[in-house]
Amino acid sequence: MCRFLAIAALGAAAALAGCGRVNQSASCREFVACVRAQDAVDGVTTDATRFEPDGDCWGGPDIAELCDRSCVHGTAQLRADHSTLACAVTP
Amino acid sequence: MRHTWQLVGVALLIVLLRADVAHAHSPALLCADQPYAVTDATVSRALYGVFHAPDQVFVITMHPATRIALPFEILVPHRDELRDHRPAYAIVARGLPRPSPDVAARLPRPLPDGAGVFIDWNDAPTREVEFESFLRRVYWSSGTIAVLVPAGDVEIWVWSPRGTTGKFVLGFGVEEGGIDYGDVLDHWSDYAY
Repeated sequence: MCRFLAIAALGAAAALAGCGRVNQSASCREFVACVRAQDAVDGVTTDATRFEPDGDCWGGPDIAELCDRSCVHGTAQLRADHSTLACAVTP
Repeated sequence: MRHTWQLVGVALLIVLLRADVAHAHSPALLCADQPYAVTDATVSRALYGVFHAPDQVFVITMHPATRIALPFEILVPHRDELRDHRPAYAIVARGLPRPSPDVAARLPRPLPDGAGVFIDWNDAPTREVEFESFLRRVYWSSGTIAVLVPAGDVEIWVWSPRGTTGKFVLGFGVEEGGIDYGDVLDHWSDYAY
């Protein structure tokens, strides 16, 4: 009985381990930098919390992957809309 | 028999634990006859609609208190009969870039005075294919993109430039935990496919 429950608990822990947080991606670091650069031009503060290092984007690998692609396209769009936007991020 | 109950108990425990950490968009059904009002733009949404006629336009309204960066995408069930179904969406608000007259003419309705627009025509030669883990279905995606949605009055228009009909899902925001799944089970056939 105890052995059985121990194995089950390990299984549950393994299942949950896949839901751990991941680090902010490079593309989203660049996207947030571009948003802040545009904020400085426009004199506003954009709510970009979900893309920031502690944001919901990094709550698990699936969401992180989606956010990463979203940031790649979002940064390209920002640069297309604002050709003079300076927001390079050094690695 | 005793082991069976133990298995059931452990399985339930795992399901409960998983549910606690599950992430999803807040789901709702769209109707072409009336705008859908988003009361809190910071809560992510999966809005399900069906084009029954080629000229329908779905309208979503929101009023963010500050400019907000959100991922957007539009999904279509991955089914052969919907292979050419590519609904487009436009985010319409003051503060977004003004379109050229040619582009404005392709929108389903005139832009309000002073408004600009972000448009995803959903016309990439090859569409991404996504597994959506909430309803556990496979969709074609327009491709997710982070958009800066201005503060104030914002409308999102969803229409079918090719005049095709069928289901779609407009998703925006980042999936959070603790989502209210609402009436999904009561209207399963409207949500799933």
